[in-house]
Amino acid sequence: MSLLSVRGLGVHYASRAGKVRAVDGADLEVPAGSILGLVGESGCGKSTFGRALMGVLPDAARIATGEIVFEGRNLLALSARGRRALRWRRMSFVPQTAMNALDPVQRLRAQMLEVLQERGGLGRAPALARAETLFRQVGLDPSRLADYPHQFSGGMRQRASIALALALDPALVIADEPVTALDVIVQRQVLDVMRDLQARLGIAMILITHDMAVVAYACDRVAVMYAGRIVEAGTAAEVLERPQHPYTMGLTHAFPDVHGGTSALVPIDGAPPILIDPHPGCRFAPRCPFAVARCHAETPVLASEGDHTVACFRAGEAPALRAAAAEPATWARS
Amino acid sequence: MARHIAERLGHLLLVLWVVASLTFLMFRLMPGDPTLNFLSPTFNEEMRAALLRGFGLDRPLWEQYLIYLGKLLTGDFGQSFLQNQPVSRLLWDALPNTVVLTLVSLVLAYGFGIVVGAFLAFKRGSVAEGFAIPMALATRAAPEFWLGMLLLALFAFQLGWFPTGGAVSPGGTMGTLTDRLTSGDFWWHLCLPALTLTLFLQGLPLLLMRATMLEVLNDEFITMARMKGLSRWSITMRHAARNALLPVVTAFALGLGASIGGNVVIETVFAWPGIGRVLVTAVQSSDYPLAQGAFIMIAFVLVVMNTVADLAYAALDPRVSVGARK
Amino acid sequence: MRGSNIWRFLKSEPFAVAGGAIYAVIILLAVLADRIAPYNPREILRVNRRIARYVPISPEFWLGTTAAGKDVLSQLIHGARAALEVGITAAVAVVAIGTLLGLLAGYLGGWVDKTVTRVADIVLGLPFLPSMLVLAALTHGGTSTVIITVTALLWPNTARVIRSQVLSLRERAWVEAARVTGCSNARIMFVHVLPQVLPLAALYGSVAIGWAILAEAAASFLGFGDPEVVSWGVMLQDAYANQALSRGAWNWFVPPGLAIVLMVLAGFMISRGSEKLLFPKLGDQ
Repeated sequence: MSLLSVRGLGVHYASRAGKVRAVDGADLEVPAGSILGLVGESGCGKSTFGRALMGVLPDAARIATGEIVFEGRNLLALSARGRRALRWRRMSFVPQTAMNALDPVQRLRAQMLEVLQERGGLGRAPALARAETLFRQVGLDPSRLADYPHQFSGGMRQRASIALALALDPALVIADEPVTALDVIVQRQVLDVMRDLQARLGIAMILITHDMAVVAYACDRVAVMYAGRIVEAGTAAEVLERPQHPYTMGLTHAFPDVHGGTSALVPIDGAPPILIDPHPGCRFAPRCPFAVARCHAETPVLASEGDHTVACFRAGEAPALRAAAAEPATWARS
Repeated sequence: MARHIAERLGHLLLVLWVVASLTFLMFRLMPGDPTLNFLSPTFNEEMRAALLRGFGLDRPLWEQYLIYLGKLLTGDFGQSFLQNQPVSRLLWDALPNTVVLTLVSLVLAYGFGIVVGAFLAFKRGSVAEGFAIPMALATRAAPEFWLGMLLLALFAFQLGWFPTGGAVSPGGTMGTLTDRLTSGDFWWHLCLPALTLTLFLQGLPLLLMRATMLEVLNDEFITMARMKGLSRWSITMRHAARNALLPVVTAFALGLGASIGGNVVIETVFAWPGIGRVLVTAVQSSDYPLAQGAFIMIAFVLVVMNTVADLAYAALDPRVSVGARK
Repeated sequence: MRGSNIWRFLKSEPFAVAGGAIYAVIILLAVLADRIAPYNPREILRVNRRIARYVPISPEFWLGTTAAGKDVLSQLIHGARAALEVGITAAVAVVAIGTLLGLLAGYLGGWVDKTVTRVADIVLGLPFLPSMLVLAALTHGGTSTVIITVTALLWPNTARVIRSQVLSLRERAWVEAARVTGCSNARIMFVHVLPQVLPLAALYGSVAIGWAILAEAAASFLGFGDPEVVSWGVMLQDAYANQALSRGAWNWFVPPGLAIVLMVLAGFMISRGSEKLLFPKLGDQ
């Protein structure tokens, strides 16, 4: 049984222009102890998805549909209090920019203690000991606990955020673009820390990112998100090497190959759809070079072939489509 | 940090010197021959010359300036023309009254403003907000002395609950500072002026606290606090309020400085014997050593408090006080 | 600003609209004072051959009369003129000087900036009312003293803010472009940068009007105003000096104060509301 099982999640924002469906019927499975990369363009809804899992959304947003089954319980059926009880203890969060996410007027030690004592029920001495252990686990010198956030470099702040996220020994850590704001070398260091923790502590992680290279480097599983829905999911090896959804095909060709080798970078033309009053049919159809009439009329659902799920009517022709997708000419708009 | 302090102190001294010099110039240019206050039938040129010499008014201007600066440094403000006492004594007598009035009012105003401001931020969009904000703005928009007049008319004249002015009841005397602070009569007289000043001052901390709280509550680390599952109380009080207090503390220090001078009208309305009132009566009667002394003292407090505010902010915000260390 | 923007703005910013309405009324009163006021504000009125002193609210005198027998309502209406004169003159002066100095300091930098900033800091070290008192004593008071004091003491706030804005504008690409094409500093400052900072200056102007009126009221109250002018401040001083408080003549001393409150409040409200129109942020549609 999966650690986390999301079905038909819908998150809507009220805005002046209308109701924005940031997440519109998303399904996802996360097995225990795996690192899943949730990848997609900016604005596809992946951040909202992550926050919806934590249950902390801006005031203008609300969860409209679906269920989130975590450790056997539907989180959306819980009371606010029940939800709050789980937060950080079973599921925690690493934000994108740790500078803004850490309280600037409190030393790190105080912030760690707050979580360990208030939410973990530990006494002061054991809490301090655990804080030091956590810092060591993420590769930080425990003496730095005495410092304020602004005294840390970017990469170190991110590690401190990870340490905070691990404080109560959660089963799942959701990281929202954890390395986007860092330079490449530091990125790799932080990703190594995360992989190491997963290997040693068996924690499951969802890495939300728009960078395929991050996914390729750090994740066992991948879920591709487009316009508020998951369009493809499976093991990283499968999805990255044998993508079945045209969007994924485009993504894999739009990034330089992490393992070397030169191939032409092929950007996907067009822009992501605005998520108000979506038109019927597949969301990707307007930009898809392989769209047929059916794609504009009906909405494809996620169908699985073993471990690999994809939402595309032409999934059966995947090998041929992959070959075509490798040609830049396919993606050029007429 | 030490360099910052030194800079601020240097700046402080510069401003004080400029203020002292400007004051000197202003008062030397003031119209009104002070010797006219001493007219009597036996007055003649000789006596007039003696008077002028006594006040040091017969020397050339630049000499007077240097003497003046010298005396200032020793705290000698000269002799009052009218009251035949050293100005410094009159000032030191009046200063505590102003300080007590200002401190009491500021503490009440800020205490009230901070609490209500934080509460309003907590309860965003409520009916209370729609009512409280215009009220707070209105109290800031009103002339202080008019507020004083209203309270005076209602509580002193109409209802008779409070005295109509002064710091002591008729027949009483103002003793030393300790006497005043332990005298019920003194506090009773303080009530209305303090209430007026509090009413006038509370708008700023209220609106400021609310605004900064709202900003802080939108900060990423507050969202994180929610994700950590901390209680709403803990989040608001421990995280948001502490961050929001920084500008309010600065405002308090600045307010202290500004109020000492701004009390002029309140002290006049209630005939409260503070520095402001001394200044007004001195100017009206051309008693210029006294007016000069009062003005300098007020300016001094203002500049010192501005510097204190600056340093306090630097000390409280760890981003300024503790430099980056990678 | 397009028409649709303005309309939506009006709907969404009740504060600014209310403020504007109040100003409109005050301006109307000031302009039509002679026509609207029931009496001459300086005229000593009589009823049955006796001077009509301290008359309470009544059908002939809607707000009653003063100690000298003058009509309160007429004085109140005419007071709007003085308020606008002092307010607008002072506000324009403060904004003009503050903007000019802020522009010069921000754009030219170097010693100009240092000097202006130093002077601004020193001016900010001077207590407002006491300074005005002393200046008023020097010049025998009057509205010009008030205007001069307000201008001399309040320009630093505007200057500072304009200076910061100019500092950030200076780095923009189009300023670089202008410099490269050989425009003189003066031209860049006044033709290119100045229009960009004017909205911010106007914002400060609307608040400065309020400060000027409060300053005039305080000066008048302390006896340093111009007793010949019919202003709200003078009315309050008159009331206080003539025992209106002990006599409970609320009709005399409440309305002028209320008028001042409304006018200053209107300035606050307009400046708060205009921020959104002049500086739209991402997220406002």
